[in-house]
Amino acid sequence: MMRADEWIRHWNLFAGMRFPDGSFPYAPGLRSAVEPTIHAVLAGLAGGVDPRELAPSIAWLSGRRNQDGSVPCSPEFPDQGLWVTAPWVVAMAKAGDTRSVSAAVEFLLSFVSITVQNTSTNDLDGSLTGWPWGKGAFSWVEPTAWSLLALEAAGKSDHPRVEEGRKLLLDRQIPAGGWNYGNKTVYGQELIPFADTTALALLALCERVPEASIERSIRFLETDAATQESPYGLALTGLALRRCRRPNGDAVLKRLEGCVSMMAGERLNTVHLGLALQALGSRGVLWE
Amino acid sequence: MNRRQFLKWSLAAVGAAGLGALIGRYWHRRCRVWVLPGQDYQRDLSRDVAGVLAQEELALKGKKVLIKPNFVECHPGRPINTDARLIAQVADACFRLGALSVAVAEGPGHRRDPWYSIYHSTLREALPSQVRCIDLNHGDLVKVPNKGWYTKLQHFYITTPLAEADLVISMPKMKTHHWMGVTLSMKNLFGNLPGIVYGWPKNLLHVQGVARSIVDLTLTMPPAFVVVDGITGMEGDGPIMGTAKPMGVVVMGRDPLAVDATCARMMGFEPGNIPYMALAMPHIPGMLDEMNDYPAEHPRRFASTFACVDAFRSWQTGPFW
Repeated sequence: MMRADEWIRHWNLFAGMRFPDGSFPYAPGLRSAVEPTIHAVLAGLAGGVDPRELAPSIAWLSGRRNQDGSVPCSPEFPDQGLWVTAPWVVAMAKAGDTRSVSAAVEFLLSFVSITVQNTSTNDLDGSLTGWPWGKGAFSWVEPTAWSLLALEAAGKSDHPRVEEGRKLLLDRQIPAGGWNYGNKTVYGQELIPFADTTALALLALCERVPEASIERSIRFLETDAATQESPYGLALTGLALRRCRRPNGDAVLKRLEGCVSMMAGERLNTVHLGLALQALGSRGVLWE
Repeated sequence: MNRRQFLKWSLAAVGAAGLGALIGRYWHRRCRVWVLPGQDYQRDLSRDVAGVLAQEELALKGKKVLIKPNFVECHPGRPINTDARLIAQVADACFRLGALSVAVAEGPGHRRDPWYSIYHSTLREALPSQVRCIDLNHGDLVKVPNKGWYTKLQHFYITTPLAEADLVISMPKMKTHHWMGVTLSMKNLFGNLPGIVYGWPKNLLHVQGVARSIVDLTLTMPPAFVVVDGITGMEGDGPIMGTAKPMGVVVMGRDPLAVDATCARMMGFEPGNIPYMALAMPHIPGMLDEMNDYPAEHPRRFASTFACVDAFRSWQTGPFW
């Protein structure tokens, strides 16, 4: 875990990008966006930031919800990027704003992916329903993993859609371990696992499915961490290994600490920084 | 024939004549496709590229240029991406011709983590410091009307760097593609769209039809110029899992369909079998070999059939020259 004063130094740099209304942009010079603000709130909660400091960001997020409970990625386009609803629910539930959350949870429960006939090209169970990036699309690992985390945060971990979502993630797991974006094989060839999607899937599945069913993926993540070059990948890996109670999680966080400063200039994405601060914070806010 | 039938037939006749005139106009516009030898990435092609851009009268002076490579995922030993050295040479050519600024921007379709694409050190280290690297997957959104009609999408959403660029140079890699047969400059347009709206992969386009989406994107945001990295292409199970195919060539031009159709022929594919090319043919010029001019080398010099997945082998009816 990062030293508290060091964490606060990084938090202060991050908070320097906050607009007066509490929102954050994807990068300095850009406009307010929902996803960076979500991760700022989660980072603040993970690091124990004074709730009064986080209140404007939480209020701003609260105002982004559409009538039907969905939350868009951009305040200007309320019908776009509705997958953001899931991480929004996580942040608002963890921040204790349960009143805002219920309509969004209802939306998430009605937000279904399309299903397809099984095809020989993909070797997956296309009949399973998970969560899409947008309306009328297929299910993928990242929106499904976030939706599972959201519904768990909202106390719906036994809901049938959650059960099916977990089943779907297990179905999309690459036989050798890990997850790609959602396909595991194409034309019989196994795809390459990614750290970020694998970590998200594990965050959603750890302690919710038999460990043996995800052991190869945990091992992939542990091995991959040694050569992982991406602070974004390391942040999610660190979170997932902590969640799965793996002892080498600390080594990953040490590496992450060393590359927080890489996230600067044109390579600064506030979502990555927010996730890094969540991983380096004292509290595992995504699952505690 | 009653009045209603007469009106219907008249409208159909006028429509057919209009469509015929449109197709005829395009079929009769000749396109230039520049085929340059490029034995390896060590050779500096920036002077040659600048020469072609000047001959094509691409007005770069004082302009904000955005180079859109195909730079989607880094795996050692796999020629997935447009080579960073070639991107740097094209950037250099733009500066030689007076470009105000040059940015390299990409929004990979299936990998969200930009540290394995546009932030990757191999790209950053190859580029001069004044060239910015921009992640098109995340950022402020701009809504643009869809100028095509094959998808049901009324608009496309793009991020501001793309909206604010004066011109875009598309730099795809010459690769096979396990859904489309090939991926070249027109398929490369998928990477113009932000993942925060379209997802990873950009499944909101897939559900509209990949070929239909490619044509709508081409009609809505055509690149001003195309430079295809065919120095080392990818054959087999592209665009990610294939293997290297050394071709020793760079293919360039103003007309994306002309460049793509020429590259497809060089790879052994009949362009009429590539769904997006067949769909684009009535709308943009360049499909017909006899209507293309090759002012530099003739593509036959570099043609070599690419290995591909079984599903597309019947599309390869070459050699064509």
